[in-house]
Amino acid sequence: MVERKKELLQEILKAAGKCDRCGNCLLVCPVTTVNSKETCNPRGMINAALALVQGGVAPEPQILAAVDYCLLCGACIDVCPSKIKVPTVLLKVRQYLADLSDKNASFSLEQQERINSAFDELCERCAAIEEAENSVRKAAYFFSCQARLNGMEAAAATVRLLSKTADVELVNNECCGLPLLARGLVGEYKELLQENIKLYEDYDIIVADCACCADTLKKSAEYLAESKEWQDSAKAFSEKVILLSSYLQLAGYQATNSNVSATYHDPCLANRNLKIKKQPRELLQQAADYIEMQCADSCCGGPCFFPADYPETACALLAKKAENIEKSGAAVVATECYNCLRQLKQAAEQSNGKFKAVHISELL
Amino acid sequence: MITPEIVQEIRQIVGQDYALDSALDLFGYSYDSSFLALFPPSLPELVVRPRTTEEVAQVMKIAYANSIPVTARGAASGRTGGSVPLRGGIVMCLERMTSVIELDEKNMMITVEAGVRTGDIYNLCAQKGLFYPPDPASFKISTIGGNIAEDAGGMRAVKYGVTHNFVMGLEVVLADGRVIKTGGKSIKNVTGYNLTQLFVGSEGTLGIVTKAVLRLLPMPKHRTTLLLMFESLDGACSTIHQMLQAGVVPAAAELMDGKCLVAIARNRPFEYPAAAQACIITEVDGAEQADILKQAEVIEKIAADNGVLEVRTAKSAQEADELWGVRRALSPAVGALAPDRVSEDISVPRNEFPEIVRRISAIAGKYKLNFAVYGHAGDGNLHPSILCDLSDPRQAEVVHKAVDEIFAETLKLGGTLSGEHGIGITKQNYLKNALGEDGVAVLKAIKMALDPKGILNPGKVWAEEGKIHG
Repeated sequence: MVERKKELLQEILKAAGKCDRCGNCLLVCPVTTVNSKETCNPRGMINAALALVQGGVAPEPQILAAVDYCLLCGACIDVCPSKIKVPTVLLKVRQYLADLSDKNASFSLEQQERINSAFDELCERCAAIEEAENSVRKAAYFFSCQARLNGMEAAAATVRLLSKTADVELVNNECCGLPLLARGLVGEYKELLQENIKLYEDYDIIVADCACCADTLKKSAEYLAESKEWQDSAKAFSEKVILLSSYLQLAGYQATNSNVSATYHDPCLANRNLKIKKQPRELLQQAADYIEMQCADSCCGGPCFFPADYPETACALLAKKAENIEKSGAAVVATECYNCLRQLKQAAEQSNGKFKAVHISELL
Repeated sequence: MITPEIVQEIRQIVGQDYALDSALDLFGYSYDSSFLALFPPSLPELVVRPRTTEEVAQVMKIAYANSIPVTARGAASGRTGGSVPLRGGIVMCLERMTSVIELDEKNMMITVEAGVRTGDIYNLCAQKGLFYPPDPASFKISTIGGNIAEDAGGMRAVKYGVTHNFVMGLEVVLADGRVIKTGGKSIKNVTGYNLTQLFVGSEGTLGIVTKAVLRLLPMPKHRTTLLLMFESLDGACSTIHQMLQAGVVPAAAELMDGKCLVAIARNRPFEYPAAAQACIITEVDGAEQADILKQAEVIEKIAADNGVLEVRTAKSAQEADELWGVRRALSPAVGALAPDRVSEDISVPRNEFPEIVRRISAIAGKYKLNFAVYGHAGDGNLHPSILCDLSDPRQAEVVHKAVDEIFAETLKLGGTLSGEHGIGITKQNYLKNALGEDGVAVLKAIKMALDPKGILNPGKVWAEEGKIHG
């Protein structure tokens, strides 16, 4: 274990050492707009990581607190001349300091109960769905935890949508593990991952309609790359995962126009990590009167624990997002992530009916 | 030096959240974008983030009464250690002072607080058809206060000049907390010594600039950007040389050598002819479309006589932006090419640009050092970067010799060793060579008059007797 930790510090040093302190990242970091001191921006966090490696500069709890305040949105990577993968580096710092964290890493008991019972409910809702005629393929659905908590309508809509293009299999999967990674609990994450790999062994296509899940699952292989037992199945598993809008485009799905005016909010992990920007927009252009809003790709403040940990910052970011949605004039904002959707629904409520928030699957 | 009582006093002035003293916060304000080592860090004892001139003045009163060193800071994108606190004390971070006081369209002047980003000034003025020309590579991030402290240059200097050419007036907080206003909106104004120009480029050692009045120009109606690839660095240099002699003054003319092209291509999709050893990005502007087309023609013809391999002309403002994006990303991209980078900021009379490039090449060859050259070829200011690994004892030894020789050659050609980055910490060694002992004595006399206790950014610009930093 001690040896593993040293390796981690070396990895952090190698990535973070490229920082030139040029400050480009200060311009695009959403968190900086709320809290502008140095340790709240990517440059400050990356240099906090270097301070960790150096040792003796600042107490580790302070370093952990600094890197915990990152949304992991990756906006900084876009403008970094050295293309430092800031979220990846900071997650490694969180991993190194995980034993210092007193934050909860799991859902509450109430939430866990809901998560567990949601699968049966989804099965019930989807029982009446007819299978597509001459279905060319089988696709397994990845049922996101956040969907189970507050996106049942959307999940059912996704399954209905998928059924038009494939034989859909519902699997009672485990959490994708992002909450654990966000807390630096890589060991526990790997166990969850192994469960998911086994559950989806028999399927070739896994469709996830949540950007957080899809991105996490697609990157999962690296965590088991050094395990002789799991490296092959982990690689195969991660390659089977595809985000909904990307899948629909590849499957040649054509939506019918519903004459609703809609705009799109880019989930950070879909836009930046998965590089999926065009597909949802092209689908929406078929299905609705599509309007592009300003700063469609700026973070809504929603990932995993962030709103619970930093309510003021999350609210401030959501307020900016709501402003841009209203400015666009669209009646509906769509997105492809259940963390985002949760935030956007909150904004919709607070807008007093100015707009509604839905998952993209509910419009197609 | 700073007692808990003083910290409390300061917290009451700026607010609890805006006086920082946790270990990590202090570390966050100990660095800038220079090549000075991060560790061991040069820590302040307290970071103060004021919102108004009044707050700055009150904090300075306390600092003066208690002889606490104060180092001003903007976005810390500086290249010479100007905002690195050398003697502990207070780092006075002006980033929160972001008010635009007034955009006076009739007089074509803008009054802003020191924390406004230069890029934001440019955009605000552009919206009204007005033009603030100075554009240091960091201008989207750097603050006007920082630009003024370092008399920042930028790519447009060849045609328009540098920051000091545009500063009409300042509001300055002196070492003891008194606040003075210098200059003003009048085009002609000689009222006592030229204090405005004294403070510009004074690197935070004579006073803290809190507001600035900047003059503007009408935005050029037309501009076009060209990117030219050359088979030799000499060919590129000669092109710029001949272009200026032909009477074509570009709004900007930037030169990059082959090493730089490699650096850029590592981080973004960027194609260029395999034989290219140098690249020029140049912008011409003017009042008539015909004007700029003519200038572009002249440039292309001269380039053709000098071994040009490829010419790209931006067809839209967005394309032009992309071409310039390449240049702006250059410095950090070059820095990432080697574990260490020692970069200089020399400036020679324009006509000597090709010659200094040749001499630098020879020096690097002599010491077997890898280096990259880029710079503002149009105005004679360039940034030779020695790409090295200072953990290698051979390199560590010869790098300093190489820099010494580069500086010596620069001075021989009638140049200066600080075109636009300032002296800060990193170039103190060479100040005496450039100004002579009497010159440095004058600097010290002025400093003594304005900051007798020596609390403003101590240890910068000239080396204290017996102490040389960096």
